[in-house]
Amino acid sequence: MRYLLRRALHALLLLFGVSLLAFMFAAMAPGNYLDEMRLNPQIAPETISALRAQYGMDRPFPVRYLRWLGSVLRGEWGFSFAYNRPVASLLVVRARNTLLLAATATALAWLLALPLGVWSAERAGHWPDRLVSAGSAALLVIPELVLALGLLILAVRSGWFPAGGLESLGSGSLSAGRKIADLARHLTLPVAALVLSSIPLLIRHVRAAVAEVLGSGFLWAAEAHGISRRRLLWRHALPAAANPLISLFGFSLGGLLSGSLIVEVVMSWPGLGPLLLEAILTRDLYVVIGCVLLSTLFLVGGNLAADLLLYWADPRIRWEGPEP
Amino acid sequence: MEPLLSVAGLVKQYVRTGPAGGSRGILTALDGVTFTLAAGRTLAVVGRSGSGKSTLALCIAGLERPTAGSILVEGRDMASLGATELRALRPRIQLVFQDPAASLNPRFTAEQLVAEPLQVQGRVPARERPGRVRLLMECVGLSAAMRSRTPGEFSGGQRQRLAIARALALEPRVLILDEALSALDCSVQAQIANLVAELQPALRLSCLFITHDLRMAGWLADEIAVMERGRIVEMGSSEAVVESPQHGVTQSLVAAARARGAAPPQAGR
Amino acid sequence: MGSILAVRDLHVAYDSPTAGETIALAGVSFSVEAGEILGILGESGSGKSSLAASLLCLLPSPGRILGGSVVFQGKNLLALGEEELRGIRGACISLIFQEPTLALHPTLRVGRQVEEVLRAHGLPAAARRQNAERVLAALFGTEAARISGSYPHQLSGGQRQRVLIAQAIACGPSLLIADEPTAALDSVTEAEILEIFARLRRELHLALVLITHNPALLAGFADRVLVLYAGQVAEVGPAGAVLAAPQHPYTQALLRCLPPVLTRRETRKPLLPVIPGDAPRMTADAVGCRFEPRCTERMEQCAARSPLLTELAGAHSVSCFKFGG
Repeated sequence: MRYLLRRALHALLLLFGVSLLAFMFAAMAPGNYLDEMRLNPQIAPETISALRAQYGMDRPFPVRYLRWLGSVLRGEWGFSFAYNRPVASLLVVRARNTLLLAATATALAWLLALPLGVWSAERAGHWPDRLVSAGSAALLVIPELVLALGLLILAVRSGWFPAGGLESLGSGSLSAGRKIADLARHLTLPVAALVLSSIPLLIRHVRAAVAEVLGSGFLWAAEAHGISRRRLLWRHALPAAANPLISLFGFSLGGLLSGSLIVEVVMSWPGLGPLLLEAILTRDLYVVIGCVLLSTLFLVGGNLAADLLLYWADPRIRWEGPEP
Repeated sequence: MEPLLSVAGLVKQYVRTGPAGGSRGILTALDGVTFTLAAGRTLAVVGRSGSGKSTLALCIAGLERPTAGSILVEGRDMASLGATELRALRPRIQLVFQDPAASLNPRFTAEQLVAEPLQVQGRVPARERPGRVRLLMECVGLSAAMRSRTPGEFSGGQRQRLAIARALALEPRVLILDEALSALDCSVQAQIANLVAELQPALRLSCLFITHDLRMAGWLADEIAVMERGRIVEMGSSEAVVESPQHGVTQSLVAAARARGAAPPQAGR
Repeated sequence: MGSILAVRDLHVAYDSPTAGETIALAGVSFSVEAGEILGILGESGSGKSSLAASLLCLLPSPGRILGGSVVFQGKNLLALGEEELRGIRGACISLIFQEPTLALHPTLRVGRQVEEVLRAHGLPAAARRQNAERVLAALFGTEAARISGSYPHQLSGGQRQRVLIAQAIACGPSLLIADEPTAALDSVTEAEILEIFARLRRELHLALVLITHNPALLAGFADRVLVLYAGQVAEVGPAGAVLAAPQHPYTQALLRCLPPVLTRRETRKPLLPVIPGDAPRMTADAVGCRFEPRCTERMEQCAARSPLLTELAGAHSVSCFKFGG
């Protein structure tokens, strides 16, 4: 319990530090949304100075930061100039879309990587292993951007999958079942891009972890007890190899919000990616900070989840008694 | 005569840490250990696994800091010495472990391994080092032809010889053998035991022989100290301890040695 | 009471890309009688671990069985398919490893690990639990429940070794093979484990092949002793004869290496007798007696060819030209 409290406290401190840094960098960057506005001759200078006062942009840095902190505590997370509404309400919708995409992709990638990794570890040096490692090596060298663009071209040429967006026009009138099917069709391409770009690394880690365990004495002993090869692999070797994989899993949980940004932009997925890009281009300060903070929150949460999983999975970490 | 090594009231406690790094109670590995070791003598520290004998070795070798108590080497208290003096004193006590493979860098040749402590210490000029290395290797029964081999190319017994040569390079006064024979074949154990027995008078070396094998302890040591739960529960001349064990642990150790040691056959011729 | 295991002319080699082929076993033959304790005495390089692994066709990768047979209950194990072998491993013949720390799964409870063995041989869930409890109770007495719920790292070396024994006997095998089962234990725990083996033999009529480098372990414990040197049988016979009156020069030299038990300082010799030189690494083209280079009694013919195992008396056989060969 004390452990959890300590970890939570650490996380809180980290978030605070990140927010402060993000805020400082944003403040140091030249120009802001209102400066851009000033370039527009149709907006009167008085309007702009009124907005400055309203948003507190004329106050010194610490005051602005504290006011922003207050708004975070109120659940607003600052105010978007471009959308003219609290950042939180924007982020919630976009983050939900991003999560839908990234969680589907992460789950699928792991479901594929585990059997492939175990399989190639068991056949180390034989053709299945070579095939898997050649395939993953090829995928590894293709940048995510190229992968996404390639898939996009495929979609446009073939017309099998929608080339962007989250739902078809007029999908609101569809039945629940059709709606889900429509969503799945829209998900396919971005999920495929994400899975293809993340899976080679996962396969390699699974293969390495399992291959290391396969040489250990207890598996040999288990074989001498007549335990079948299949059970040996899945129920003995894999759990023993789990520790690095659990850490990696926590890492991929942490990257849920930040790992899919490029794919989202390329495939016009209405997630955090396009929002962040747009906000950076228009100097929509609080939206940028909000995105950064939210990803950090996920990163911290993912690591915490990994620690808890490790704690649950490995009795040696749980063990607090004396060494025998 | 002043003892070479004098240990008094040695206590070593480990704070057990939980996964959160918080303390989870205290483990007492050494609980007031007191003994002396005279120059050129051998003391065997015998006990079951977990009795604290290896912790004792680490503390005396200066690799663990005792929680309380004093270790006097040639009359000087190790705890009261400054960093420089300690560095000068440390080579006087050398440790040889059970698993020589783990303590020898697998990429070094035998010659480099034996020369390394000489280099670090810097007392032997560079041009005298090859000769010294040859001498040391000869001393432990390794031929000069073996000097360019790596540890992996030696047998278990030869690796242990190499570890001893490396330990002797610094001209120690005390050699600690921490289960140094336990992993070896019987015939190799005999070779290494003989090596130690031969070197000892020649180098006026004191020996701390840490083992669970009472039989070898009785043969090699002048005195035996029996440890249990971090304490010395019985100590005396090898003959006395072995012939009339007093403490329960000693009795079970002697029984184990006797039961499995039915008269060593001298048959044949 | 017939023999339950018969090994005939077993040859094992290891292929190494750098060092070529190394012979681990060169024509080893012996048999194990039901309910007996056979001690196999061999130092490192004698091929004793290869022997243990070959008996269950579990040689690690570069190792190959070149020839010979291992006949158990009328079947040559070396000719069986993987699935048939799996049915024998752990159920009819069990193996106990020298490193109890390495031979147990690190993240499974001990009780579960015993159940895994029973599961592998087709026991239903309820019977598995019951049998595991029974076996652990036989080895741990009243502590069984606590041990069953523990993880390996919570146990001492001796307890772990007892868990390995529990796994090995869970399915009621008729033969146990133990490869240096006490090498990682202190001498008192070692005596306890040996006592357990003796009890199992008495109560379950198990045969045990105990492989060790330590002759002291076998004295007063084994029924018969087989001495292995460089992949060949040097001497085999009743334990009393082999250990008290060894005939092969190697066995004699090996037994002399043991420090005498607890003699007085004045009466003991200054140094222990040793065997000069090191155990040889055998290649396929080796000729002559394997012990010849280190032997103090070598004769002319020793370097020319290998002596044959010759029976002296009372099932005591030696392979040395002193006795015909």
